[in-house]
Amino acid sequence: MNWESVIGLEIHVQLATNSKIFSGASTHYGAEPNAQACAVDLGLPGVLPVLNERAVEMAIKFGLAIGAKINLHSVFDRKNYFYPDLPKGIKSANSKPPLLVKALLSSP
Amino acid sequence: MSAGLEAGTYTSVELTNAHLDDIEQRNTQSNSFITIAREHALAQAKAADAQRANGDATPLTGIPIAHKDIFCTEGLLTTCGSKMLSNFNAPYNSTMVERLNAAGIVTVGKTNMDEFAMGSSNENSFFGPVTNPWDRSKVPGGSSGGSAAAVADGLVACATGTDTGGSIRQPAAFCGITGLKPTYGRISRYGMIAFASSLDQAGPMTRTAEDAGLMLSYMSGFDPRDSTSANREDDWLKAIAHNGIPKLDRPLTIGLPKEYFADLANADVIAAAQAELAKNGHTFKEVSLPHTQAAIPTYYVLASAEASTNLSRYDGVRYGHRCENPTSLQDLYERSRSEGFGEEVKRRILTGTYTLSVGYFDAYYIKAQKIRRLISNDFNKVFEEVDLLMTPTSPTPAFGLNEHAQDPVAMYQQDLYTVPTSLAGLPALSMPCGFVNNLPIGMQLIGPAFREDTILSVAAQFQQITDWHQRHPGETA
Repeated sequence: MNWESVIGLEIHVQLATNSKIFSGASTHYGAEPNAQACAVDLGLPGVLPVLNERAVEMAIKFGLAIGAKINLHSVFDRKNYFYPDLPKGIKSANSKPPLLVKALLSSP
Repeated sequence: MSAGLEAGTYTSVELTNAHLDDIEQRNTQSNSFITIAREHALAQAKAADAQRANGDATPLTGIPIAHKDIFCTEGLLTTCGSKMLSNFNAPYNSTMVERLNAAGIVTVGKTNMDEFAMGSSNENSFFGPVTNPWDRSKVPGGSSGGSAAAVADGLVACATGTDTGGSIRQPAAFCGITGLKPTYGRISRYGMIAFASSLDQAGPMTRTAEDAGLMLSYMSGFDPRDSTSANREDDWLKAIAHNGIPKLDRPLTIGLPKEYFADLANADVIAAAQAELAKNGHTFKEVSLPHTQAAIPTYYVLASAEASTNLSRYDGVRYGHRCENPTSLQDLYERSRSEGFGEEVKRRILTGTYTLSVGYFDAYYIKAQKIRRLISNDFNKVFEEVDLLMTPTSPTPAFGLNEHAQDPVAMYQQDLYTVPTSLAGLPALSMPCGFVNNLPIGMQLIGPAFREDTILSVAAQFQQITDWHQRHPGETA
């Protein structure tokens, strides 16, 4: 039997935004510990996430650069976990459908 | 009250002190307050008097009000009616509280509620049930039962509430007051503890439609911190502070959805209210909302699903109730949540977790979303023919304490006439329109999205020619 190797990679990239993906708190590196955590980051009762517009712009630029299809309708879903360092007990996953799909990046 | 402050008959500090004395004395009867905030209120009253002396007063400056204990208030406990948050001091104000503070309002306390706003009787509160001012053996409705009872008892002229499936309108009906659930998105949800995020909406609970309109004008507005907040400019809303509720320029066609009148116990009271409205020239038309019967199961699938994820943050790790001497992380989660939540909250978390789980998600959650769209389409269709809908607010007047406590399905049926509007995100108001056995009966007016002006105008007209809203418990009806 002939097997073909197909390898998937999950790559995390930090975007160079001034504030966090779902809150207005600063992302500036090197500040005092906990000095840049706001009520939204802590998931306190009553807070709501607001998507960082600049992050979406950057993602779209990236998508254009790699020839991705950019979905005009994209959704964040909640994924539930109990982790002590996950303040809301949920993650917000951009997957059904994600902002970018079907890109091609050729490697030499 | 505003006129007395304006004329200088009394100061806000005097008014607030009188209210606080009254609340402290009479709260034992109703249990409508979880927190009475004397110090906080007097500081706000003093600031309000200064605001008036500077010539910056709004019609709400110096008026004592109460907030449902679901709104985060800096400097006061915010318990959400739960043991889980019985020690929770929010470090920030909700947007709505912030807006009312800027208008110079005085917060005299936080009102009792069903735990996490889950309930139709206010019996699901960690702080004990609230009694109905018209009959202390009856429930005040829920979940905003404390706010409704406080207004009906005359402890405050206005209070804030929240409505997910009827939690402003049903207690307003049971307590004989006026309660408005605005269009979804009208009032920011930032700082309002989430139950079911796609349904939750804050609103005013008052004696009159005029006061509800005035409160609405200060509570609402676009908020960049809430992505579902409506970004719109309604001239009528801005003008309420100066001109009051807008006057109608023509008589309306009011729809009577037949599904809301089947098996109605107090049809004669609603018919009499209809006759009063007809005196203002309005005409009536029978209409149909065919998916009404599907609303309750749809609502309980969706609301419980949203609740199960919204409440997963209460884990005993950072704030809120934590069990004694946890032996492991698992033990900490299990016991903190088992001890911190009441029965109804647990029931909904379990139901919601089940419907969201792999294999059931499509069968329950996705299907319920589709039915929700059908219910919403029903309303869109009838609003092509009529300007407004008139219905009873609930199938019965206030029921007895413990009457439905052992039967959650019977309790859920209480929301039959209020849930469809919530699923469609539409504005609706309940106001008293008569009495049966000395218990108030509520009439509901439902409007198209963002047409609270039409609802309030008709309600104000009705309240000009009737006096049901001026009845007080203890007087003979």
